[in-house]
Parts: sequence; C-alpha cells; structure tokens
Amino acid sequence: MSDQPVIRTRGLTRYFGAKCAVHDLSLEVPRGCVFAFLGRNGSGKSTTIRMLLGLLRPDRGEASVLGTDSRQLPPELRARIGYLTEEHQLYGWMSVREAGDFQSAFYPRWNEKIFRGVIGHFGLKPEARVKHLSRGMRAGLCLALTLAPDPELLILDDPALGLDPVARRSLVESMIYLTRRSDRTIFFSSHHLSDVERVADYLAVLDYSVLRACCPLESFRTSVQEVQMRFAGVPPPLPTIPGFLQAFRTEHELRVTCVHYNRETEKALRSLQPVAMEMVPLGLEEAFISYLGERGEKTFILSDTEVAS
Amino acid sequence: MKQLIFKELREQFKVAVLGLVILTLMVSLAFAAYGTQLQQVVWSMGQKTSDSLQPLLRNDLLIQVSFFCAIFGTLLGWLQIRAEKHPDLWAFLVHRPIPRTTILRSKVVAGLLLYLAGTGLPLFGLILVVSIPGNVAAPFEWAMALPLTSICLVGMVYYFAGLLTGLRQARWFASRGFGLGLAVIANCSLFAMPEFWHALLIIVVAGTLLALTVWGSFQTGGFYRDQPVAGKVALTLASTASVLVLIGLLFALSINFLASRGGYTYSHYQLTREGKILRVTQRGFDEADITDLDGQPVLDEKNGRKITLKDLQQRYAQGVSASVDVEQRARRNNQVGESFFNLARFFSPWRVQDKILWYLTADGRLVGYHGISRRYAGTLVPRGTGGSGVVDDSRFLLPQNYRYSYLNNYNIMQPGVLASAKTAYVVDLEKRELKPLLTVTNGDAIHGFSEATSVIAPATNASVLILTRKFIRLLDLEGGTKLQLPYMPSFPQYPTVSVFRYELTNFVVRLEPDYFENKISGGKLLSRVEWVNQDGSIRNAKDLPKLPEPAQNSRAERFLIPLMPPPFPPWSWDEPYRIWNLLRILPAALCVGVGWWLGRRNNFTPKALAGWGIFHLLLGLPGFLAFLAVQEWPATEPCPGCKKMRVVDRESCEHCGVSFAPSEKTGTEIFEPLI
Repeated sequence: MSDQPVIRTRGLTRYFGAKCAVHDLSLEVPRGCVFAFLGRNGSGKSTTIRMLLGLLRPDRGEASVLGTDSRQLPPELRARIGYLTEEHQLYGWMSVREAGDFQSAFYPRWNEKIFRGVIGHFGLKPEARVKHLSRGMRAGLCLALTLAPDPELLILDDPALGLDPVARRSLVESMIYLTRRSDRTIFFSSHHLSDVERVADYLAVLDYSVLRACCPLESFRTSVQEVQMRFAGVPPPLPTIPGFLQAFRTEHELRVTCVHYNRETEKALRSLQPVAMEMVPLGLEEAFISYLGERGEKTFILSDTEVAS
Repeated sequence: MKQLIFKELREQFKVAVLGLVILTLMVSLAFAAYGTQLQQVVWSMGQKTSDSLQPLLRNDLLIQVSFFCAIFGTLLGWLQIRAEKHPDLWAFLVHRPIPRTTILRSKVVAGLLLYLAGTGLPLFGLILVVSIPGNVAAPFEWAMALPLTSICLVGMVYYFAGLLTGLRQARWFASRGFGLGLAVIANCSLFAMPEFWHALLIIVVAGTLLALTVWGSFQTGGFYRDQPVAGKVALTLASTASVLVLIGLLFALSINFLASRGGYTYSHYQLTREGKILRVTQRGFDEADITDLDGQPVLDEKNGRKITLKDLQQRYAQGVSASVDVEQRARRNNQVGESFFNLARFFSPWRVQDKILWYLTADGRLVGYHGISRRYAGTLVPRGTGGSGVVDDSRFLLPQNYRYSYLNNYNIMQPGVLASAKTAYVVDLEKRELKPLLTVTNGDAIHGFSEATSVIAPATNASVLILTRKFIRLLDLEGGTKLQLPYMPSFPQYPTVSVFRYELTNFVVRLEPDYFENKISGGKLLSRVEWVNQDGSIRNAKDLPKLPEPAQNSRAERFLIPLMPPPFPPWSWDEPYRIWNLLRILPAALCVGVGWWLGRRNNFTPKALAGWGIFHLLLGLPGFLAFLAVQEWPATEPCPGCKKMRVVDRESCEHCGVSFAPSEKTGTEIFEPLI
C-alpha cells in the first residue's frame, strides 16, 4: 500500500475552448515526499491541481488520488487531502477563531494545537476579521485551516503567491514542520525556486501545457548544464547539439546550456575548437530559467559594425 | 450542516432584512391606499368605484407582491451562489469531507428560511391585521389569505431559479437565466387556478423540477456534463419551459402587433333601435364590415356611404340581459372568474347606503360594514324555507354581473333588486327591508334576473328582467308585468336572454345558446330572435345564421404554429390551420435529424442518442433549442490523419480512428523514475 503513488495521472488532458491547458500529463507522486510542480504562468499547474481534486473534469485521460478516481473522491477521502488555494480566499466576515470553528466542525481529526500553532506562527489574533488581514496573514490562516485537519496529502497551489519574504519563510517553515512526519506527502506548485530548493524532494516541470521534466530535484539540477567556451576570434556557428537549450554569444565567448551533457555533446562542442572550455555549475533557479527560457541562440556583440541582438 | 446553515444565514441576513423592510413598506402603503379608497367609496356613495375593498385581494397589492417575491427569491438564490463564485472560495466550500448534496441542502434550508422571513413576516402581519374586526370594512375569511400565500410560495420557485442562474456555466445573454422561464410559467399559472391546492401542486412540481436542476448543477459546479441523469433531465425540461416562454412572448407580441393591424377577425350580430339585425365583421380594433342579414352593406341614409362602427354605435338598441344559473355555469365552464384569486369567490360590493357598505356574499347574503368604524353593521337574507324543498330560497341568487365588480357607477343607479329562487325583492337598505316583487308558484323557480333603469325605460319606470324555469318576465318596480313570454327554447341550451325595446312600445327578445352546449351539439344551436308586440304576441321570429369562429387570420401566426411542440393541443383543426398543425411534425423531424448528427459528432452514447431523438420528436424546435442551450460541446482540432476537425474528448478521431499523439519530444526531457 505504501508503495502506491498518492497521485497518479495518465494522459490527463484539458482544453479551455480551443486552447489546450494541460496535454497528455502522466505523472506519479510517491508517498511521503515533497513534490514541487513547476512551470511558467499559464502552463497548466492550477488546472492540473483542480483536476486532481475533482473540481474540473478532464477532457481525456484520468487521475487518481490516494488510489481513487479523482472525479469521484468520496468525503472520507477528502478529509485526508488538504488543499490550499493560490489566492487564499476565505469568508471575509469571519474572524480567525470563527474560521477555525467553522472548519473544525467538518473534520473529526481536527488538531486544535496545530491550528493555534500555525496562527501563532503567523502572529494572527483569533478575534481579527479575515477581511482585515493582510495577504500574508490570510495565507497563514488558510495554511492553518489546511494543516489542522492533519491531512495525509497536502496539495498547495502556489501557496507563496503574493507573500512577502517573511511570510513566505513562515510558510516554508510550516511545510518543513509538517514533513517531519514521514507518511505525509506534499504536492505544491510554486514560482519561488529557493523555497522549492529548501523543501522539495522531486519536481515536475510543465512547459506550455506539456510535462517536460519529472525527476528528483538533484537530477534536474545536474541534468541542466552550462558550458563556457572562449575563442580567439568570433565564435563559429553552432553545430547540432543533442539536448541543446540555449546559447549566448559575445565577441570571443560562447556559453551553451543543454541537458543530458555527455560525450556526444562534448564532441560536438570541441569541434568548434575553443581556446578554453569549462563547465559552469548552475543553481536550481538558473537551471530552471535556462530550461524554461527562450530556446535558441542569442548574440551580444558590440563592435563598430555590429549591434546587440 | 449546522455550521453551513449558520454561515449562509449570516451571509445573507442583510439581504433578508432589506427584503423584509421593503415588503413591509409596500404592504403598509397598500393598506394605507385601501383606507383612502374606502373613504372615497363611502363619501361618494359608491360612485367612486373600487374592486379592492378587501386589502388581501387588491389587484395592485397582489401584482406588486408577485413582482417582489419573484425578484427577492431570484436575487437571494443568485447571491447565495454568487458569494462563492470565486473558484478558490468555491473550492474551499466544496473540498470538505461532506457530500455536495449536504452543502446544497444547508444552502437551501438557510435560503428558504431567509426568504420566508423576508416575505412571510410582512404578509402574515397584513393577514393578521385584516383578520381583526374593525380594521377592514369587508367580510373576512381565512381563505382570502390563500392568493397572497401562493404568491409568497411561488417565490421559492424563483429562489431555485436564482440558484440555478448563479450556478450555470453559461453565458449571461444565452441560457444562464433559463431556470426563470419555469418560475414565470408557475407564477402566471397561479392566477388561473380554480383552487389553492392546484396552485400548490404547480408550485411543488415546478419547485421540485428546479430543485433537481440546482442539485444536478451543484454536483458539477454548474456544468451539464457529468451531472446525474435526473439533474440533466430536469435542466433540459426547465430550459425547454424557458424556450416555450420566449416563443410564447414572440407569439403574443406578433399577434398583438398584427391584431392592431386588422389581423384579428371576429363577427357578431347587432340590433339597432329600429329593430333591425346587422352582421358586424370586425378586423382589428376599429375596422369593420357591416351588412344586413342578406350580406348587403348597410348604407348611411344621409350620405349613401357604408356605415362605420362609430355610426353603428349611435344606433345600438339598448336592452337588458340576464343569464340563468350564473354560479353553476361559471363553475362548469371553468371561467377565469372562478380563480381562487377572484374577490367574487367571497363577495361582491353591492351598494353604499348611509356610510354602510353592503356586500353580496357568494353564499347569497347581503352583509353590511360601516365605512367609517369599519365594524360589522348587519345582514339581510330572504325569508325563505331554507332549502327544505327542491330549491333553496333562503339565499339570494347571484346577479349576472356579480363577478365583475357589482359596485359601479351604473349599478348604484339601479333600484336594487335581488332574488331568491322563489321571490324577487326590491331591497330597501334604508329601512333594511326586502319588498317582494314577484313570487313564483306551481313548481316554477327563478333562475336569473337583471335590473335596468334608463336603458329600457326612463328612471322612473325602471324594469327588472326575471328568468324562471317557464317564463321570461319584464316587470316594473311595482311588480306590474310589462312583458311575459314562455321561455322557449329554454336552458340549459339557451341560458342567456336579452330584451330590447324598439319602436317605443315593442320588444325584441334574443335567446343566446350556451357556448359549451353549442360546442357539444356541433354548433347546431343558433341564436334566436323574436320580435314581440306589447301584448306578448310574436310578430316574427328568426334563427340567426351561425357566425364564423374568431380568427387570427395572420400569416405570422401560421408560421409560428409549426414551432410549437407536436404533442401540444392543436391551435385549431379548422381551416386554414389544419395543414399548419400537421406541418408541426416537419420541424420536429428536422430537429431529430440535426440532433442525431450533432450527437454522433460529439461522441454521444447510443442511449443518449435515442433519448435525445425521442425528446426532439416530442418537443420539436423548443426542445432542440433547449438541447443546444444545455449541451457543452467539446473543443475540436484538426486530425493529423484525415485532416478533418475531431473532438478532443475522445481517445481517437471519430472520422478515421487515429489516436491522439503524445506530445512531441524536444530532446530536452528530463525523466527519472521516482518510485
């Protein structure tokens, strides 16, 4: 049972009108991990999450969460899934305490200690009205409401969206606190790669609605590599390089980013006969930006006859 | 569930309070207006007319409350959904460990409680005030509260329509508000229902249907796809009802437009002061062909031109009409007057005398209420045998125009004659006495009566037309007989008699067949006219030729008929409609074909295809439009195999069977097994 993935999708596809929001997504999320779901804006992360929770119907394919078809999640199963929405929407007229009381009425495993702990961590007063809370505070309250039912699977849709660094740090700390219990799984989407780097075990990357990467965090970082080459004169045109992502060309220098760097790649690059050639280590953020950035070559040569392009 | 109900009550509390305040204000103003009108009626001795001397049955109040309940119910329902329209808040609401049905149930319980508080309290307050003696100068029965109650209850149907409007994932200008059509139908039907329980049945049926649509839509966040079958069926039926309302509106507008331009034709006979009978065929409101019985146009003696309707109005013979068994016939014919909304079901204002308003009650009593103190003043009933014999002569018969606000400028000038089954009386309200005018004997019984002053003779020589089982009698107020004829042909075939005077001393008697009896006999009963001398001898008699049925003889109407669903009762089987009624099957068949094609194109199951086929056959174009309104069509994209557009929610192309290709590889994919 514990080997079963908590989330599994097969060919999950969803259109909005003629636009394909998620295309043929097949994914498995292991139990007990922190799984980061990454991608640019509009790449289909929220749509995928909404399909996982049965809030949106897929056009094709299927998804299961905790072993059950996501279109038919029974109430008992929903009790085991915590869901934090990206805009932290709550009923504005409720106070923090009322929000807690409201939510606790539905969850038999409600843990008041966790609730109080999280709202204390975010400095929330129980009598404060939700409509008067800052965005960060509201995010904290939402997190408290999501964590207090003690969910087995936590799905967070860009939980740090719009939060200041302090609030974001609090959020990440709460997530780390939760993952100390090994049977808990967190599936979250984010644009903050430093947060991802701190907590995630695995990541998946959606690029224009298509899943392009799904691997351990470290594998991703090591798979994306940059090679810096120096030339005596103007760098020659690039040959076909397997796994090529992008290249940046200056007067005597050429930097090439690619995935799955291997002998074949090295051979292709050495055929350019650079004066010097070295591997540049990339952080997750640089790797991610290179991976999802514009593909192809960029030139930046300033001389009498040429301009930057 | 308790928490959810509390949440909903808390969120919409202000709306309910606002509704309560507005309705209380409306009801208070209506009651104040009643007081003003009462004063006017009392001080004008009944010359200022009013059909709303019972506040609970005032037309203006009923219409205002009807509009209010419709708007308030719709708004409340819509706001309850609107509050959680943001996708994240919606997710927060529905992603909890309880079934969506429970969430919806909590919403509905809270919504209906608020609705009933907002509308029920002011209306109950009004009913309570009216029921306390001394507040209203008119008889009171608890049944008078039923029209307002039904209007309040039908607001709950609007409430469900509001919920549906909030939920539906459809465009505002398209079918989002389609739930409202059913609520409008239910609301309008109330006014035609003979009994409260009929109205209640309509409310329950429409409410249940809309509640089902709301339940189905709530399960899917407002989408049609994936709804339970019951929800889909209910939504389709509710949408069809809305399409029918729209077609009906289109129909009514075009008919109204065309009728004002002569599209509406009907014929009738008109008696002139000279004793001539003319045939008038009227088109629209003011155009008419006026001919004699031989079909020759009637010419104006002065200028030799054809006479117009206006000319003819100057020549109308004036007379008095009476009908027999008014109550029984109204009930049998299911007239609109029989609706439980009608004041006449309880009483009709009759006369005002010494600031006392006298009402003729539906059970045949004259009941008085003081117009100033609004207190009960007394009752007048015939001194009869109490119904121990064949007929009950201990109550007054209802006059012919009882149902149409008896208290009016014309009626108060009449001497005030009422009749029981055995005796006709002149009612002296001043002395509170009944002066017998005529008592019938030998097994005869009075079945109808009518009184007239200036129309048939000068005011000093007022007349009373009395129809007994055997005779037609025209009397003066002293009981003297002006005219007596055997009632032949008699009722039930000929229940209406009119007596006109012509050439000063002679009479024309016209006997009209009953509409329904005539229909049963296949239209064989003809209107009969007798020219009678003063001594009662018949100078001449004639059966008037049958007139054509009124006709909406318009092209637009004929074209609209085929739009109606085939199982609906035909517009008319007579020409020129017969062929158009038969043609209704063609649009239905076309809809079946197009519906089938669309279904095949969009991956419908064989069961769904068959179901929709039957639906289109039964409901024709309105059903097809409802089908288009509820369906959510999947996106299409070009198939790489056959290049045709294919739907995206199938595993393979519906044209050539080519599967959807996985995403194209770029060579930069990073995949590693995680488990």
